[in-house]
Amino acid sequence: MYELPLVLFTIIGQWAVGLVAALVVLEAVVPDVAKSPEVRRSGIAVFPLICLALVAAFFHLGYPLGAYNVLSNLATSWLSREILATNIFAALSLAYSCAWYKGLAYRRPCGLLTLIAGIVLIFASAKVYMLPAHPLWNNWHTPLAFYASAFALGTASLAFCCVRYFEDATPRVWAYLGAAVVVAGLLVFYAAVAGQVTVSGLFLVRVIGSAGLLTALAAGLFLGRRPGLWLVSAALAGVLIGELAGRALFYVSVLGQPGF
Amino acid sequence: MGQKGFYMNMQACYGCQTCEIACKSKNSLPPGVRWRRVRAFTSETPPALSTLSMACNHCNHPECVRVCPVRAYTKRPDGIVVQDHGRCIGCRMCIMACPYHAPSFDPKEGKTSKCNYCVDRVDQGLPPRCVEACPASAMAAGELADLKRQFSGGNAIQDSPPADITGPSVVINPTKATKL
Repeated sequence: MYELPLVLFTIIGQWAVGLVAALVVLEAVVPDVAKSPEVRRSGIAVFPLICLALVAAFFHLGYPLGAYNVLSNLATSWLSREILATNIFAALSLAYSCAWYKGLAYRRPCGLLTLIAGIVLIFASAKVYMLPAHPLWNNWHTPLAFYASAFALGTASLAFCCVRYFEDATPRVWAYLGAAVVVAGLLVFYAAVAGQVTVSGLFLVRVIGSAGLLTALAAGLFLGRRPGLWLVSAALAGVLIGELAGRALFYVSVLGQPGF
Repeated sequence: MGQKGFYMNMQACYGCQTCEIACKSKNSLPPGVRWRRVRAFTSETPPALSTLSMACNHCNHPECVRVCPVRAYTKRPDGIVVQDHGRCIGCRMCIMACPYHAPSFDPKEGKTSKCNYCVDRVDQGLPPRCVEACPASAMAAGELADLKRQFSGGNAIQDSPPADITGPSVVINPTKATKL
């Protein structure tokens, strides 16, 4: 399956963007959250994540030695633009992760800039696949699916890194998180169904993994029970596996079909 | 200098694949790499088997030129789309974007390549090798405007991608079963 590096590149890259979004929102809602070691570790993890995505992308190339030319066609190629956006995001992620590591004051504006770069990156990634030759991809479901993946992975990561810090948190904070989880679950479910290809085991893995576990997490939150480490860990692993399966289905549903 | 193109007469083509072999032989293509492919179309009403030989269509708006991140593809003044093979990084974006799947990937080399309309022969005033080799004279090459004047047909058939995506520089004379 030659699309595997693309599955890993897009999902891990979108995870990094989702994580930045989660951290930026979290800091805005709970300003002293930076004291939590789990949250700090999540901030530090952004840069290694995007590096991992870039390494995966290299495995897709048949002749990676020529990759230095990849920005040659910024005028018309969305792939060139995607690689440029990835590199800008990676550079900002380095600054952001350093800011978390060293506890630097510029962390919040840097997070906002990194988030904007991430949103642009996901848009560029989606445009790469919006090709007139493939009607299944050439519609708004593609950006929806990509943003949904980032949102779901970001929200699940947020729940994971907050679980210890929020042991004594107010119900209001949990309500915010619960709402985010519900929105992420609904978004993923809608993106999976709107993706049109539903007759596949990969579809079931995505729905059960991503939407199902997020729903379980949300139900736990709304029932007033603070989720245990096992539930948030299962939710994060489930969302990651579900999103990987969903992205594999995204590629197979078009590239796995016989062409003209 | 006008846009070059191909004429394919499906009513005369009987699927012998001589064009494919001539292309492979002329361009020394490795196993698995085919710049020209003969597609078969079957129908039940009327019961028929039709074949269409197709390579790169040197389109009016080539998707490969638009999407290639390393600018490996260029369109010459005569409309022929050529690839600078040295620049290819094997990302397969052109294969994904081409509605006709004209570019072909060689896993051993890690690069993609495609029909170049035998530019070396055309520059000497000779026809592409596939056209010359066809035993049924089912193909012709030349300026698209001349081909349109000389032959009847269109640039799409039943089950082919819509021609308005890229504007393929072809005139296809379809069989009854494949007529749009």
